[in-house]
Amino acid sequence: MAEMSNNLFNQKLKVVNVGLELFAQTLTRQEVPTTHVSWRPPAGGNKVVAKLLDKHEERINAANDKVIQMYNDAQPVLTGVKPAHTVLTGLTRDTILHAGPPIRWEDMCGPLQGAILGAVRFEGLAEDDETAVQLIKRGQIKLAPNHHYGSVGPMTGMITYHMPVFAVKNETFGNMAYCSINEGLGKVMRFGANDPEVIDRLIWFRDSLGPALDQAIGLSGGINLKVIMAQAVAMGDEMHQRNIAASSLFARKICPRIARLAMDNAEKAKVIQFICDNDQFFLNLAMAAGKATTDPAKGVQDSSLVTVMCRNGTEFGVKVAATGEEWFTAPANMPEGLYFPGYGPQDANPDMGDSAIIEVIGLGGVAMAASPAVVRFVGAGSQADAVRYTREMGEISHAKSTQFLLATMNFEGVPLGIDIRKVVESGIVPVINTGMAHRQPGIGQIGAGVVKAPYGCFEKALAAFAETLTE
Amino acid sequence: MKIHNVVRKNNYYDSVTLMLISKQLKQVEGLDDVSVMMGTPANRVILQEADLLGPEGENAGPNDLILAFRAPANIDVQWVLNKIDEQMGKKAAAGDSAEQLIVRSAAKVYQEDPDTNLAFISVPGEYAASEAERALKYGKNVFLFSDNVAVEEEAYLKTLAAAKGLLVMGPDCGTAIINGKGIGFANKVKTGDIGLISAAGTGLQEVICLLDALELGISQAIGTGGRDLKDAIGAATMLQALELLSNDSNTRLIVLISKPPAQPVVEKILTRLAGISKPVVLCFLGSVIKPAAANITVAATLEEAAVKAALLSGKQPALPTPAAILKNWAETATAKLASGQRYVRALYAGGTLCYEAMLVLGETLGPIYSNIPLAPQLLTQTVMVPGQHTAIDLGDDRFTMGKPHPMIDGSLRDAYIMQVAGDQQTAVILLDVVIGYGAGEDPAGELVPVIESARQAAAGGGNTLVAVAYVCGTSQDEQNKAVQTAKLQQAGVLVARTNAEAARLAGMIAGAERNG
Repeated sequence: MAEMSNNLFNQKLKVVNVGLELFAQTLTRQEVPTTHVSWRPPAGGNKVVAKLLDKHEERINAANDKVIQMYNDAQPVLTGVKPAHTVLTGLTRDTILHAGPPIRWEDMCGPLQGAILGAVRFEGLAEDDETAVQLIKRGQIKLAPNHHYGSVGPMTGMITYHMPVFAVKNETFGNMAYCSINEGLGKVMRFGANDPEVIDRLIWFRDSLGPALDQAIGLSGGINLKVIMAQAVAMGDEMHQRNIAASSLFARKICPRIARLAMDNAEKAKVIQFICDNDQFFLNLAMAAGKATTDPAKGVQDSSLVTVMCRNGTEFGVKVAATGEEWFTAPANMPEGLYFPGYGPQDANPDMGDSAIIEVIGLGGVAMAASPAVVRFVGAGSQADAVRYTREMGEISHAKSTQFLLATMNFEGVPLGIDIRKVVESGIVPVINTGMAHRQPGIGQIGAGVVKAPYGCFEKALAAFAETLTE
Repeated sequence: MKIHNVVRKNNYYDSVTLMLISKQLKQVEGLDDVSVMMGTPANRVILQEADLLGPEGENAGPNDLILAFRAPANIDVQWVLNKIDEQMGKKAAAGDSAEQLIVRSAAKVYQEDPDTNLAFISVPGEYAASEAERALKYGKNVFLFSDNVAVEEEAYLKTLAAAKGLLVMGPDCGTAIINGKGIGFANKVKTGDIGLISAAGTGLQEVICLLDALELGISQAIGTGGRDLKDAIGAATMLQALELLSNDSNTRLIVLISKPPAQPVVEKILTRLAGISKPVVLCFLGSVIKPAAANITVAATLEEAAVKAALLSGKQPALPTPAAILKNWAETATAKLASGQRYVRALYAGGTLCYEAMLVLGETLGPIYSNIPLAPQLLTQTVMVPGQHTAIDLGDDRFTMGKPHPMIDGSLRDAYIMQVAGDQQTAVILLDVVIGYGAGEDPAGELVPVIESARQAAAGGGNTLVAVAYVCGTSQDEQNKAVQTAKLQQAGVLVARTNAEAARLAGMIAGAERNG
């Protein structure tokens, strides 16, 4: 009858209790090692979907293994800094790229609108905001997500025709990804500020910083970003809210080469000063590295792993490997955290930016344990809380990174590959470490903290994913 | 309101620490706004915009700490600074580091902990089969407590399990003891060489408890779920468990327990038993079986199964109470009854115990109405049918829908006890008290005041209510059978030594020849 012999009677009993906790308690009282599973209906209670997921579980797991391999094998290398229009296919002068999933002008939050008005002026498409708004409303300015052009940008995420972008090549798969240059703190376009100081800085990026960086990178023959990121994680960065180690490591690589450039000395010093003064300089590099890492996974059949998470200040959007370029969206949540003096929750804008690509590759909120300094943004956090965050993210991840290791967790790899099945089954949503923008344009950053991805977009994604599971 | 700035030279704190402190300081009374920041140019702009920058702060450098606050002109600045200092370096009100991460996915445990060998599943029935299937896929044995699982699903699960050499106990399986550990509703019993397989939950509890009382121990007790012996399932689990027990060197004697199975299934089991060298006690409650094989002993009741297993083990069973003594108890009780009091009303928490009671009562009293009747024409969902004896399984789905099982929470049964006691025709209330793992902490203690109220209610109508009870459990159980028994006896309840004996006693009391 039985093909295999059952050794149950000769083994020590070890139980998984799925359901009523009472039974776990009676087993524990008898000293039976028991793990209680806090059960919820699978697939959010959608039985048709649950059945499909169950039926094809092995196939999905195999596809997810493949995607994890892609993520772990990725080698994002910074190859240069180029004017966006020379590298982003199809980017026209009158196109403004923004963060997050697609959104109409009318539905945009204040900072995003503010940034777009600034970007229109930066490109010389309009002299003033009033004209800019008219152009936009007449459809003469094309608004599109960065992700549709192979790029990413933090917060409002502005990328326009003449802006310089980091060009990152995933050498394993040959694909490219792009990201804007980080503007530093204070009044910056990514937080919706758009006054002349902001525009002047962007002009300097275009004319001076971008070309200088490009030449210096050229001298280096390309800079492997993953190596820097792995070191920085060991040094206490989680690469989303804290980039000080990565930024410093990057400065060590780039500054000696900038020094060798044939440039005016004062200008050279300004470039070096700008890079060294900005703790978040590396964030945008990490984002491009993230985008370059996850792009090859798009379209991997049967894989339920997330390839994109991003927000536009109104909606949160995810993409899943098997469903390719399809967006699944839900209203963006409000971040929770600490505010600069004079500001509070009433001033904050809902979650914003393409930077959640960092969490997709296992960093940011997922790697909170690497970065105890950051966990304190969510109240009086302790190291134990940081570890708990990471462990919880492990509950919804398919595997672990082989390269981003957590010294504070005995060098375990960070959780890697957010699995929409597990998000929906557990009700645990990804946590994202983020900056907070003022809800009105022009004011800028007012704090930083943690935000949760909205559950709803994962539920939608799972239903669509299940439909791709054909025989 | 005045802006105060105090600058501390070369006093570095990281920005998160300072933001946290600033947040905590906002609660300091008397301050309009407060912020502590390093004096970088960017921070000075932020302070300026928050209207917190004074002349001292303007001159601070990046390594200087600025303590900035807005307060009434007459405020004691030193007091505020002390308050700020209190917050610096203060130990964080850290989260409990021992806090366990809530586990949400069984699959993850199966993957990460290959040593787990049993999945205990008690999720709602509509989801139970897929949870069980998942456990089987990961190579785990399954104890499926959930009910409302489709029979097709059960058949599929058991086929899958057999192919993988795994056991599926259930669905609707309440009791098992594996390697000496009670799973679900179970009792703490002695370890020994009797292996049991049962399609009846409280039936299994009753036999292991009686064996324990007879100083006999068990090797394994395997529940199969109530539907295992139906045609559609064909005793899949029972046959598989039989294979395991016949190969188990710790098992010398096997006891099989079930309500009467379908005839083809009986044949199937008998055929298999003929191939087993170990002695087997077969208790298919009330069904008449004539086995060919010499190693099979048939028992009609749970009590008889325990007694015969004892005899086969070379024990002289001290059960049940001799008939003469029972007769004496019955006569004493009967003498107190009014002439209209003629019927037994049995209110059971345990389904199989109820079934056994009906078998026993039926012998002397005739037809017993029930929600789990011995014959279809005796079906009733009413606790009290006028002019009839009733025995109701209050653990049946119809009564427990949306309420806890009476083995866990007796309040539902309490209400029915009061209803029955108020009826002039009720002579005896017959009750079971099931203790052990999963049962209430003190079921007898909770029952005593109810019985006392029931007695008073009956006395109000000029009647004397007789209560007969049985405690299914052992003295090793946490609730302790002896303690539970004593509580009932002190309340004047007649406590029998087996469930069958309780039924016999109730039958003798209600069935006695009386005048009027």
